[in-house]
Amino acid sequence: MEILLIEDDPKTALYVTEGLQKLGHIVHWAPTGKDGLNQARTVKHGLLIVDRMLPGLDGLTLVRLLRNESCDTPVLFLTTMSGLGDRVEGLNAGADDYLTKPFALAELAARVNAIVRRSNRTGSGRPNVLRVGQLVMDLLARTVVREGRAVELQPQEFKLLEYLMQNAGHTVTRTMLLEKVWDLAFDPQTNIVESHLSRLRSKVDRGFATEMIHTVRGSGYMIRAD
Amino acid sequence: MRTRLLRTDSFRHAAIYAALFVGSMAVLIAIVYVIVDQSFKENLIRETDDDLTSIRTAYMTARRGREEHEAKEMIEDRLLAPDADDVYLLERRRTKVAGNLPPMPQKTGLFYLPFPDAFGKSSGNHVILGRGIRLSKDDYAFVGQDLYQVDQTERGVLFAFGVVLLASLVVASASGLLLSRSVLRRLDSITDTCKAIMAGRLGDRIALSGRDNELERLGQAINAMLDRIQTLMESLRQVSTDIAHDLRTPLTHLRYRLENARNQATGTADYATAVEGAIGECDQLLSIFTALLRIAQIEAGARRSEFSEVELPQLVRRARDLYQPVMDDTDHPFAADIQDAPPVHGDPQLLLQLLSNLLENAIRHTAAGTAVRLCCSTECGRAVIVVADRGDGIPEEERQSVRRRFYRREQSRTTAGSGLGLSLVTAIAELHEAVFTLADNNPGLCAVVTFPSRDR
Repeated sequence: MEILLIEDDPKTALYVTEGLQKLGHIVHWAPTGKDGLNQARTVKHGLLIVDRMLPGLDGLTLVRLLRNESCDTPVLFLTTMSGLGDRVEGLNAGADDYLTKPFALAELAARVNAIVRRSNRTGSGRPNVLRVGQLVMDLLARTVVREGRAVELQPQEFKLLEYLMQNAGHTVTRTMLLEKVWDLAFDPQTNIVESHLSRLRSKVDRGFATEMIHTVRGSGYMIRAD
Repeated sequence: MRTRLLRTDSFRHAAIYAALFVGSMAVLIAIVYVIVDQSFKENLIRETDDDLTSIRTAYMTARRGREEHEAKEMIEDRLLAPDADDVYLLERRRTKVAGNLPPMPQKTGLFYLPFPDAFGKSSGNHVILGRGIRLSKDDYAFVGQDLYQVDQTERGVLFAFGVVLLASLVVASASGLLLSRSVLRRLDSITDTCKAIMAGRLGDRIALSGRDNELERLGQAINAMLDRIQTLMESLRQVSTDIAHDLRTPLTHLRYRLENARNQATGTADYATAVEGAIGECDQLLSIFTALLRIAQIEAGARRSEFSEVELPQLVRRARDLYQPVMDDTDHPFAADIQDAPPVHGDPQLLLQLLSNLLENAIRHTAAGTAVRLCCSTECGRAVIVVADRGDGIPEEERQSVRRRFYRREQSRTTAGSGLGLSLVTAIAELHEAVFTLADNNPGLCAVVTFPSRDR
């Protein structure tokens, strides 16, 4: 995928570019907001990664301008500000996700993949049934069945499993789960995600031959069929 | 000082008021003078006319041939009266018959008659106001009064007014000067204090007189502001010192780890472990910075504009659901008692973080098996959140200190955490104008957050 990175700090730009290239993406770098806006207007990219703080034209204004020109390229904001209101402000401006610097490359990769998957999905509409191997989730009836056996889940466990299944085969990070499943804008000091996942595991995996929910060391969790 | 005094606002005001006062006094005096003068002269004319009428009546009613004689007698009678200011003249065929005036042109009607040396009474310029009439073809009579007395009286009145005017002008200017001097002195002391503070003497305060007036209140307000600024500066200084001190420890650990790797690592696996550890230390440092920034942001009140109505029972239920699995995993019997509570004007994310910090403290600082309770209720119309545990609690003398940034109790030095959790809780509670107290749970710790009443 072609990704446009609009970032004024060369070190961050290099870190992101090398990381994403290793994952097989093509990265174009624009060091200023104006430059970035021009590139975004002339070439169609798969994703824009935009720094909030840019000299001249700032990231927020840039994304607003592009959205007003009905440009629907997914946008991921990067920021050094750990401001509480910044996330909401960024998402309201039309960004698809938001990442606070400094971040682990695994976190960035997971979010880039999730955004791209989501933007691919919107075309075909939201499915009513999620299926990962023998695990089937009916979003309307709110039931989960694995290998023909019903799995009883609490509402929060259901939401957690739904998010994992939407991103089946891909890593989702702890912060992603905190944000998307529990709507937490802060990072709790205890590992509540681990506790919730071990409960979910005990319901989804216990008594079956194979484990579906996996821990990806150093980055997050993943559900997959095999 | 002299010219500065004259250039003060209060002196200018006093001068304007004095000028207005003197001006209105002058107008008043002029009006009074005209009225008094008028009434004096009217009186005088009436008396003159009465006299003239009597003389005329005597003349008219006299036997034939005795007319002039009767009139003369009457005039002479009048002239005998003691201290009479009246002047008379009776002439027959242009010859003086009676009276105390020398012969003069036989003018009729009311007129002023200059009379330089009347009766030798004074050397002043005398003016006589009187009326002349023709009694017959041959006879002419004039009756008048010397205006000297009237003039003297009027002059006296004018002089008195003048003295009053001058005195009030002096008093007004003097009080204006005095007033401006006292105001100037107070303002100078305020200016001096400000200059002293700018010069670095931050402890200086404006001297207060103890009287209740506007400058006193201004002084009090400025002093209160200076106190607040000083407190903030001191806390800032304290924070910088704390940060410098407390960040040394994790940075030192990081350095040890990297140094050890350089000196002792024998293979890629060793390096990988060291790097993994170093990243962990960095993350710990970064989370401390995030927490510090967040506390600073909350203390600055930045988020208050985005407050909304928060249903506490719903929020507390979220926190319970979030932490139930952790409580189970760490073997803490966890119970939530969620009752109705009035909505709170606040930030749901921050309130959730407050609950999260209190619950995490309970988990982290109590042994496995310790019961933790989360409550939400209404007390006297106020929404109250309680997080209580049955652990060892915090001795009373330390309950204030634990809210300080980076403060860590001896017992908890070895447990994870940055020493910022309760600072954050305190900051969030203050942002919501809520009262955060730590109390004894007999045994254990009871953290209570009481939100303000909505009836205000």
